[in-house]
Amino acid sequence: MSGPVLLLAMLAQTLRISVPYALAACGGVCSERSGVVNIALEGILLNGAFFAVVGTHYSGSPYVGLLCAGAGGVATAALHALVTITARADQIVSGLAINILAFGLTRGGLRVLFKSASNSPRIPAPDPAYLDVLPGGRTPLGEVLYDPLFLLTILLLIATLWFLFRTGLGLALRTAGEHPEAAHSAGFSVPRLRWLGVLASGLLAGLGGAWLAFEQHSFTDQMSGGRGYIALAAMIVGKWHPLGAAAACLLFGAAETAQIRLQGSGVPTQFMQMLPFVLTILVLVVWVGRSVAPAAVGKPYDPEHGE
Amino acid sequence: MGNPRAPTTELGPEVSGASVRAPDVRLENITRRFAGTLANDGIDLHLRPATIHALVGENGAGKSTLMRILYGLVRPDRGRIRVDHRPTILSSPAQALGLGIGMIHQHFMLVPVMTVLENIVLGTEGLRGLRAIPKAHLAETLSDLFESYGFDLDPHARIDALGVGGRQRVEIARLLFRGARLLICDEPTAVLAPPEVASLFRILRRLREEGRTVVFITHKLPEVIELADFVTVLRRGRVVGEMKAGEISRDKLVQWIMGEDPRAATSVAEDARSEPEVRPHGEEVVLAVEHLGLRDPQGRARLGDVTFRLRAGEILGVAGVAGNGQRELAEVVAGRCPFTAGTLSLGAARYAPGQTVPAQERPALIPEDRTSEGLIGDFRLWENLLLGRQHGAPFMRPLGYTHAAARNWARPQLERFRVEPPDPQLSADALSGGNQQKLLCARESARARGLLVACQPTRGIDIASTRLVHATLKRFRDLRGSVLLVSADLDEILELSDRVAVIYRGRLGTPVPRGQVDLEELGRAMVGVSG
Repeated sequence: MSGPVLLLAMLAQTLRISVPYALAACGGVCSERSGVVNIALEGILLNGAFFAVVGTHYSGSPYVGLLCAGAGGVATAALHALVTITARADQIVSGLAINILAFGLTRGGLRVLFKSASNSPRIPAPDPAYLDVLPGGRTPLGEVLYDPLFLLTILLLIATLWFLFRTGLGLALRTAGEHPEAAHSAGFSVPRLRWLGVLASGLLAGLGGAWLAFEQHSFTDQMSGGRGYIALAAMIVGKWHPLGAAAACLLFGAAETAQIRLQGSGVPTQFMQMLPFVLTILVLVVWVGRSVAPAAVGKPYDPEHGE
Repeated sequence: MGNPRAPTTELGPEVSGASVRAPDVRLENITRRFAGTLANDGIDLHLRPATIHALVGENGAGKSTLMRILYGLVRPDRGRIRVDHRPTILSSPAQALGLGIGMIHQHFMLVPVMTVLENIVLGTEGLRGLRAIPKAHLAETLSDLFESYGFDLDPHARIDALGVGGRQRVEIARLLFRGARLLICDEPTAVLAPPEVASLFRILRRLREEGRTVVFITHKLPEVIELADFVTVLRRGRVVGEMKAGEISRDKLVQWIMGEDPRAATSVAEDARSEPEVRPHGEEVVLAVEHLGLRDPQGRARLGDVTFRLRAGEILGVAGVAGNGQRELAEVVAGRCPFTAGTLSLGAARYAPGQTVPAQERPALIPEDRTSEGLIGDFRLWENLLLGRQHGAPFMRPLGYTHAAARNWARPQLERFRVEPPDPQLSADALSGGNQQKLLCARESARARGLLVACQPTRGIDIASTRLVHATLKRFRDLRGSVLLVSADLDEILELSDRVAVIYRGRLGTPVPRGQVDLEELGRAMVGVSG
């Protein structure tokens, strides 16, 4: 492969790897800005991937699969919201439990629906006809850039940005994460704002799971592989801002691409596979001191607390 | 969303001048129970339009609960509210705001990392959904509002860049922006310096002239006499009495507030009296600070060139508006925070910049924020009393201690400091603010060897608790201890201190003996206008 072609292929690969990170991290921003820690992103990604495969397998259409992934993500997030907002349980414990539950449910689902312990049958990914018409539509980069889910991701990032920082409801949602009493006192329902933030994170991360499934054209056991946690790190590095988080996701995506390309270069694979995680830790150590979390994130809110 | 410009005109306050008709509000037989205690027990209160109505009473008398009920934050178990003679159920702040009722909480409801504008427009009708916030337009509207009330505020400034007075004006502006015609202020003067109090009173009187009603909760009786048209006294969840302007007497108020059995003298106060009058302060220097400076990690100067000495048996009062470095000064002197310039001498030990004071050498500290820095809310009272004193506690045995022994050790201390209820098994969270402060006083005054640093020791606590805290500090002084007293309450400073100094923008003025203090000059120094 010549230099420029290689570079374009690596860029395409970086984008491919970054999409699920970016969707999940952006979901994390929505949830945490409203005041709810969401480590359930991992489980939401996994459920999203599973539902994408189930929907696509039974309908034959990857677009139905996409809808199912979004719905599965929202349903998983709704469980997290119910436990942490309505029942005011610990957010970390709920997130962990949901991740473990998602591992179990998808593995059970594989056995029941597809009679397999490891993977689903092959499913088609979205492959719109316009790819043949558009310039560069059939190049590695074009296949990413024109992908309907990629375009949707860009759209959702912009929508989240606009919602959080331009609208009155977004302001209220951020206030719920900084100073919930202030949001309540201004006439908002803090639980509703937080439900909104968590459900949005479910939709976004669920779609991220669909991307994973379409990349592999199947569901494999535990295929989320820690990506939800990397997305959380990207969210922190990106200072709880949709664009910052997306930029951090691109960085992690680039590191992973480099790792894949450098395999077979003599360095033991195990070390190369550590690269994205080492980078995560490095960036966290160097950056996290300058990144300030929403003040009330992780604290359950009880509107009638004492006097 | 449509045309982004046209609909913005309806967002905006009735900007001043125009007269306003406040609602006539009656609270009838309001009862509310919290976990077994009656916070409000059949309260009747009439808030007449265009009046200033003071609400006084001890901590836990039910004032805040009553106002939270009126603002729709808490629902009463029984009773009803009539607004303009119509029975009204207030189930949310949104509903109260819709009726023109707004509240400024004791702890401001402002988001520090957001701008003045964002904080004010939060929740405005028409800006609760997905419509974009027309910031430029709103900034203009707000500038007009600020100008007409003489508020020196920038709509785009971040809240954390403002002082306490500025934040309070943002809260008031927010209520006016939302069209509030009845404003509830929960202890608005607790954190203000005298000149700021005067300007707040001007604002409140102006609101009354416009036809608005102001309800204010306070512990400071001179304010009631100066400002209120009506005053209602609450005690243990019931109305004790109401007085009109002109007939308000301080003695009567104190009697109503404290109940038939005025426990003016507390146990510690009695102790203080029974102690022989000890000699006036000696020459022994307990604390010496020379050219002390402190820069925060961002490089901003917090304290500059602070120099003073504190002798045994002396209280040095540091007066100043909150946010001028007094909190940092207290933390540095108490050895909780390393400084960046000058020297700090505690007794014989001298510390240079960057050095940390070893834990066992640190002076006792009553911190400004008792709930987050002073006490551990989830811990029991005996555990809180033991913190920092676990070495050498009398009930320690080689293999540890029994809880029973610790409880027995704690109970007399709780009783002596009149912590109510004096049950060592309770968690600190279960106490009212005043009782938490008494608990803290009990621990720190026992822990202190030569020097006690007290930071806003009576902020927001009731009269009886305040007296106890004051008696504790005086007694400590009389036993030849030294106290560095930081307070925004000038009356407190003048009552307790042997010498008084003003801190302004991180610089401490020369301490002046109490007898030579010129009140006006002091007030001016606190806002940086040197005479």
